[in-house]
Amino acid sequence: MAEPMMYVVTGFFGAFGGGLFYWGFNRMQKFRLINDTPTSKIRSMAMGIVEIHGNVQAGTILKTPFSQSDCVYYKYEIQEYRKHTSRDSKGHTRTYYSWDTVGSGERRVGFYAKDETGNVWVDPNRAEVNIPLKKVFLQKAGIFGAFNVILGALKNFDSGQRMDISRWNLQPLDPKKQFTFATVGDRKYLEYYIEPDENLYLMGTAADDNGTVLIRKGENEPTFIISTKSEKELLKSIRWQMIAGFGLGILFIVIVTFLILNIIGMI
Amino acid sequence: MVIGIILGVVGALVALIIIGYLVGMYNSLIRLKHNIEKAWSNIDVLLKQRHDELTKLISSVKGYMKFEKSVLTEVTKARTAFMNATTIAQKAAADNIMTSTLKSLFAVAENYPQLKANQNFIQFQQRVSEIENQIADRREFYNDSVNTFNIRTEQIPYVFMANMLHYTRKELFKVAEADRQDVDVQF
Repeated sequence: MAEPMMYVVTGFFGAFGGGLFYWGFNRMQKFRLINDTPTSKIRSMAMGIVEIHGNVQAGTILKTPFSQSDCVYYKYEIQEYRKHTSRDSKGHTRTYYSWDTVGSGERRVGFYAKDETGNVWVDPNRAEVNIPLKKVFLQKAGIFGAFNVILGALKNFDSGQRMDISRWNLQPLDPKKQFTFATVGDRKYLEYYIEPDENLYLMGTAADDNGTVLIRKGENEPTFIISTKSEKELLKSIRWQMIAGFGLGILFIVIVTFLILNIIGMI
Repeated sequence: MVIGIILGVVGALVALIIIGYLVGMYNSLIRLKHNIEKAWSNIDVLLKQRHDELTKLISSVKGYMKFEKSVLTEVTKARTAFMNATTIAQKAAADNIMTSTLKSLFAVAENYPQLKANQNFIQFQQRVSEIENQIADRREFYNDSVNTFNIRTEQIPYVFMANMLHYTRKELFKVAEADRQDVDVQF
């Protein structure tokens, strides 16, 4: 590897490893905050950081891009099955295949959260949305034309326009068992969304906006989580994120140490 | 040599995680303590609001319920007890007395059709009932905060740090025995 390239890779891995390590601490902090905060009833919640359990009452309803399901939030991802070829320092060629993300997007609108005591408006802007994958569709290669046509259609859709997906020939897959025989060029369309009437876990800042109480991201409070998972499931996923952050952070920093030792000629 | 350096780096990172964990544990205990104080302050705000509403309520019912002096006296006594209360335990006790006294007041008011039709009384009654519901919610929230604090400060490894900080068990905001029973109004 050329020297300048080595410095770039080392710097990139170092920043990435440090970022993952920092993220691990961030997850640890979030885990504790959720664990320490008791649940408020909507009717009597106090201003400031609150945790509530509510049911989504939609005002404006969005449609998800692929399944056309009603929702107040959606996130989509398009993955393509691709072939990669790399050559090592000895000149050996290695070929591998992977699902690569080639497009993604999201859209969100405000909604009411309702519990047995009342309801409150939720402004979801800048919220960390933690929801499981709900729908996956497979599209075999060659059925739909150039990929940029889909991206163009999605761009229109995100701006509120409808698009015709009937010719896309999407086959639904089970989101929990996505295994399928794929060929290069196949695409997967993944949807994550929050439906009306779905139960939510919310941790955000209750604030007074011209006499109306709403939940949003606080100016001085970085935590704003919206999740369709139960508190227990959410804590479990945050714990795994924390372990992954620390584990991968350590791994990358160890790789960086190797690279630095290599640069200074110790290896 | 190289292995030593790698192990040193891994060791330093693990030490950083342990330090972060301990700092987080300390911050968590501090947050739990402040949660209780904040939860109590939020109840206190409502108790004061209820106190203000009661002053108006009593003046609106006085003229109608002149034969129910004992009930009004009880409400006034409960109000005075709340005003004189300084500690959380005293305020909690005063709140329990006030809640049961108010139940009696509203039950007795059923006997006075003119009073029941009075708009001011209806408004105050609704307002006081709303505040009572909010107090009940916040009492539950307070007890959740206390419960989390008590459990955490007795769990390993938190117990060691809690002992260093001299944290002791906090008392729950208990509901009065009278509130658990049905209201029995005698005329």
